[in-house]
Amino acid sequence: MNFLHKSHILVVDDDAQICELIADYLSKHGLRVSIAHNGFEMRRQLKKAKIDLIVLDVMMPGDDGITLCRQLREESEVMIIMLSASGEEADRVVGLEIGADDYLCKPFNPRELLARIKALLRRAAGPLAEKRKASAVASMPNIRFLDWVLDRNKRRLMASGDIAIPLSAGEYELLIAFIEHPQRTLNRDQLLDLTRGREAGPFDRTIDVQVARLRKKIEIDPKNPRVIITVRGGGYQFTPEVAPENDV
Amino acid sequence: MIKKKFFPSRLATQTFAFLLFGFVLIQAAGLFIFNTYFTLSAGRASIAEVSAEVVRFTTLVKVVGIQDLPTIIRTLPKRGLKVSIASSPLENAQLLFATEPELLRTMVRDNPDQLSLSMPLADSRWLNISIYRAEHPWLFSGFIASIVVLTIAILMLCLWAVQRLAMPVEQLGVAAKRFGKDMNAPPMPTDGPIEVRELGEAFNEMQARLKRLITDRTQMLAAISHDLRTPITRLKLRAENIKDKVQYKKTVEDLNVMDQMIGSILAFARDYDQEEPMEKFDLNALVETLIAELIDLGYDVKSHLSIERLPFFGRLLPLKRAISNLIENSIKYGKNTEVSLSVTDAQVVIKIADEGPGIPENEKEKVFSPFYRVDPARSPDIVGTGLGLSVARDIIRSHGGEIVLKNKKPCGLVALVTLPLESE
Repeated sequence: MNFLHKSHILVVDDDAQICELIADYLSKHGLRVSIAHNGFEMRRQLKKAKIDLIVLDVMMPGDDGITLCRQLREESEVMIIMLSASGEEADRVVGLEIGADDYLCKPFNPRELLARIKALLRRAAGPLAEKRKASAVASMPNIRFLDWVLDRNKRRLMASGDIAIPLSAGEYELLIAFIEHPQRTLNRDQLLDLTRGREAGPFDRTIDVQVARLRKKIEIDPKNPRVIITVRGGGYQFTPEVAPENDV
Repeated sequence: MIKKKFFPSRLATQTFAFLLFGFVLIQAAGLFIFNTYFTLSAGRASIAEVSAEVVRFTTLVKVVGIQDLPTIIRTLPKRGLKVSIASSPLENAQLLFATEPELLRTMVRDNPDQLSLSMPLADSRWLNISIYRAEHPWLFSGFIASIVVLTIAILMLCLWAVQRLAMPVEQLGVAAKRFGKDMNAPPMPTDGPIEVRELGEAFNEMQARLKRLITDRTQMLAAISHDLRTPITRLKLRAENIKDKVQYKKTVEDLNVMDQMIGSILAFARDYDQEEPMEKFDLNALVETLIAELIDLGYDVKSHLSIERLPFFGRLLPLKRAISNLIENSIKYGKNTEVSLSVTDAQVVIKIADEGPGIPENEKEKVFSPFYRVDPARSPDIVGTGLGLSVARDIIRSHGGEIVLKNKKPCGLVALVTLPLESE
């Protein structure tokens, strides 16, 4: 994976020891790592060198991670992984909504962090990268397709009649991947990559199983799917138009 | 013992019974006094009096001149008699030609209530006497009806008043019971008489204080747990430097255990802290999603669920945590976990069954208390804080439901969750 060696990671955390430990670990796996303990230092580092990805702690004195992430998104496309000790669903959602690319709870497994960094870097280098940026779906809090509204804050589907349908983490990631690439055939490998490409994570089930489950929830007749269609020899395609939804 | 059976136990019925008893007593006494008074005085003339009067009037005819007779009859007091002068005798009257007092008394005595007498006068007119002894008052249907109506009206008033007085006490009982089950139960209404209002306010204050106490303590617990995450993060990073593979693996496992415990303590604290909104969601999809997530994590869970939508009004995330705690327990302590969901007209029953060792009878209630764990020595490898069931029951009860644990034959445990369906 040669793309890793060109990548420069910036770790931003007010805990000096954690910064150093992460830096140690990541550099051992071939990444270039810099450290910052606050927003000020982070900006200085960003001016000094080209950074590919920032590992950003949420809870910091002064400007917290959420504020920094929001500011960063206004000026750059740099990839961001948020770290938070609260582990609350709501924090995770806020993090993703303000433009973070991924989110990890403290205490995280260092190998998981490395895997996510690799997945993001690979995705940035891959063919779907441009398309993803163009879709801009990532910044929409609520997304409408057909009679459904996907409530990203709560990770659930709202059906007509205002009944909430909960989604599993796997189904949610898959649906987001589809929504980001509507009317486009995605093969299983692409879908695996897009569903945050966890190498041995909780989503290590075949894409087909997740598709079947998702169909059960959103198709009128799951045996005769219209929303997520199977493309012969290619993979799956999400057929509906996608639009932002302002009120849920 | 028999006495006890007939004696009403509710406050309202007791008070009402006392009132009823008193009221009947007063009515009976009143009727007795009235009856005595009526007999003694105005109302009812005795037989002797009536016959004396009959004798008096018949004798009068002989003494007084025919022209003065009408005036005298009009002016004389008459008790229990109607006396008139007419051109013909009364219908069905006994014609009287002699005025023998003994005979008259006998006639009156034999027929004291309906007796008509007609006596020929000198000018060929008739002196008509009819006895009309006033009837005994409660033989009048009107009198009885008025007593019945009055009695019912007063009793209804009593019933209303008694219920109004007893209601706040009943409400207090209900509120106390609900508070015992649900920390976030609404305060009881404070209206009614001053004493009742004060009682309600005192109760609400106590509820608020208790809630604050528990919230403070859980928040402290949450803060400590939260602060532990930074050193654990460091330790996890440091563990990567351990060269010995076995030591590395064990260290990471220990750290994961600590992490899980902190996670469940934080979730426990959140349940008291967070006011989740009530919303309508698909309960079938919720359980299905939960199981899908567990299967994704590599656990073996069987399920029997319908694909139909089951709209349920409640707090989605807490309910998800409650059911998830139960299923995870079943996976941890048992094997072959099976989840099924059935709906009757009024409630949903979620059944989580396994083929594990079950729970000893005497532990069935204890397992619901926070931080309690069934003999940790017996299952040292199982990670837990003893909060799962406690949290689950709090959440289920706050939805008006209940969890029951039953041992299954030949082995295993069944957790039955019942949740009432609200009719919208």
